[in-house]
Amino acid sequence: MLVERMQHYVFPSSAVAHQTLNNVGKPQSGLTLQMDLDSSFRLFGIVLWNLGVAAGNGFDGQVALRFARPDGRFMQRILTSSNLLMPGTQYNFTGNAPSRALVSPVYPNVVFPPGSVLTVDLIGLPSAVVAPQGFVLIFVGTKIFNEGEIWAPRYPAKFRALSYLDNLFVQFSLAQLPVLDIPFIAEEADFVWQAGSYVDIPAGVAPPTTINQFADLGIQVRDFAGKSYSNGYVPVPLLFPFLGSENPGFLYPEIYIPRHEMLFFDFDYLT
Amino acid sequence: MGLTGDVVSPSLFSAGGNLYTILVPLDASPNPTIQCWMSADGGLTWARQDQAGESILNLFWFDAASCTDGTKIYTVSNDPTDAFVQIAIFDTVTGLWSAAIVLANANITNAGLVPTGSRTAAYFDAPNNQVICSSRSSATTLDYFTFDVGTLTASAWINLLTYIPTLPTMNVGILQGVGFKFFVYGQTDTATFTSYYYQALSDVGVLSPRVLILTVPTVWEDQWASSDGAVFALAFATGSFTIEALQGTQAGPVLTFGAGQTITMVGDVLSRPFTIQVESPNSGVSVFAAGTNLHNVTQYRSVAAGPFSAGTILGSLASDPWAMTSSTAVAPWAMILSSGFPPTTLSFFWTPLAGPSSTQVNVILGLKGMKVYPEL
Repeated sequence: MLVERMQHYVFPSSAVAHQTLNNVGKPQSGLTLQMDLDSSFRLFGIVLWNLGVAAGNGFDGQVALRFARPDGRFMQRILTSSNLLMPGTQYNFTGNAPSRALVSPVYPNVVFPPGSVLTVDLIGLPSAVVAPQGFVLIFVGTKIFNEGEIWAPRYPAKFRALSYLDNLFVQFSLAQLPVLDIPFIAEEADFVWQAGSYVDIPAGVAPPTTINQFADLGIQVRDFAGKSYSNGYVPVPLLFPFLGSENPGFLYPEIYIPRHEMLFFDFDYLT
Repeated sequence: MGLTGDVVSPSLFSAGGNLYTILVPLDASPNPTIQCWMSADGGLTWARQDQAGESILNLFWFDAASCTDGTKIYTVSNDPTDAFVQIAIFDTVTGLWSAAIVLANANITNAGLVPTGSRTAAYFDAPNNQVICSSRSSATTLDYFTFDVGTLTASAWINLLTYIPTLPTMNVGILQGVGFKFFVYGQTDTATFTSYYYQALSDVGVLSPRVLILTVPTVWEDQWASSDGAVFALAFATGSFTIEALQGTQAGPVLTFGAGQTITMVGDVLSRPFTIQVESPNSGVSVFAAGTNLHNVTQYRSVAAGPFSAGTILGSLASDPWAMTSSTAVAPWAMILSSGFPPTTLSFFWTPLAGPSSTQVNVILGLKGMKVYPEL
């Protein structure tokens, strides 16, 4: 029996030459993302998330790219504008407005064997942003394991369920990032984490009247055994949209946390 | 009372008929100015001491601890950049601070990453006239060092535990024994539980191997220890409503604990942290806890290792206009009581976890889902 597990592969723009992003250099081809050796990866969505908006040098999503299947065949004919590939390239503002990382579907899904190398070609497009900070490209999918290979608790044979919204509350100064190993404990009963939402209270104001959005914040979720659900920090609004409780960030598959077990959350700036 | 700030733990000392507490302002973390406040009327009113002599320490939150030799209060703090340890000394006789001592030599580097539940513990070792501090000396080790208060020099870190970096370790505290001190700490196992251990350190400096105390369902930052040299008490949060308390005795380097007792908070969700206190010399043990639902501070008491009483409500934090008006936005951060028992006063300090802050961002993640209850 196979077990699917949420997985995000993150391709940071820090891997891309700045001249390329700024459209003053050559296209960069053959940029690679090494996938894990422990399992196959089923790709079903892609996200492009702009960075630097709060700092005033935000990337505007104007990039052309293509990436390859595991057999080397590209999934786009040519370097293709990200506006054709990804939705929602203008989120991540600091301010009191909804923000979420939208996922563009990849269908049929693409299965990458263990240890695959995902290859990306890209170049920045003409833009008014002189020194863009960059973007994060996220490949959304699942890892596929044989049962017993990983920590993957399951529902009891017979159960009753109670709808529940739990909170993870973290306080830190920006200078303290990264903040690591914040635990989320399933107390009192097993907890199935299915979706997320987010709010923050900026420094210097009193809760709960003022809210904001802390731009460029990344998160990495790890399971009870310490195994991460991503290869790096993913944008918080991917799993936890800001002011988006009506349409929360859904996890696929959901994560089952037995009573008194926990997940760990790390926070840092996206790069 | 005018007290605002995070309480260094433990932080209520009695000297010369006065009460003293050590505070750091929460919103200035990680570079707060450490403060000493004194009460001459049993905790009713407090006054800040020697403000001009206060030192700025590099620390996060509660990554500091205090102890006293009866006249001086020693506060050990850990630098979050892992560079050094600082010791600030307040003299209750003169009412003055000394400039904080920075132990920046090669022996005393690092101090632990925050916040991973590895609180710093400090203990005054009277036979050797030294402060003992246990904390993390790196991301992967739990260690202690000694600081000679006569020569103002420190030892190197001495290893207690090397653990797997991805698993949390909890530094519970240092217990006072006869002829021995006991380091108590927990480590989350690779399975589904946390195991708690102690290691005995003799007065002549011999460290014994670690001994398992018990294994409990995984907890985090919610464990406390207290001892008066005769009674040893430990408490662990094991659920939203429950605390597990143990009482033990000493025979040389060996601590023997009785069966755990479960304290259940009725109608209130346990807020962290709570605390446990041996009532020297009454052979009693009290657990003090606050809830985030009813906002009550409640005392649970055991006499002669007997069962803990039903809770006695000492007061409500809900009357505070600022700290407990919303169970989702704030929580009591620290509750400290007098180190002597019965105390001349019982003092509780708390600060809002998400209170007004000039430098702290408060991030709230909502995890939507469902609770699952197995059925037969």
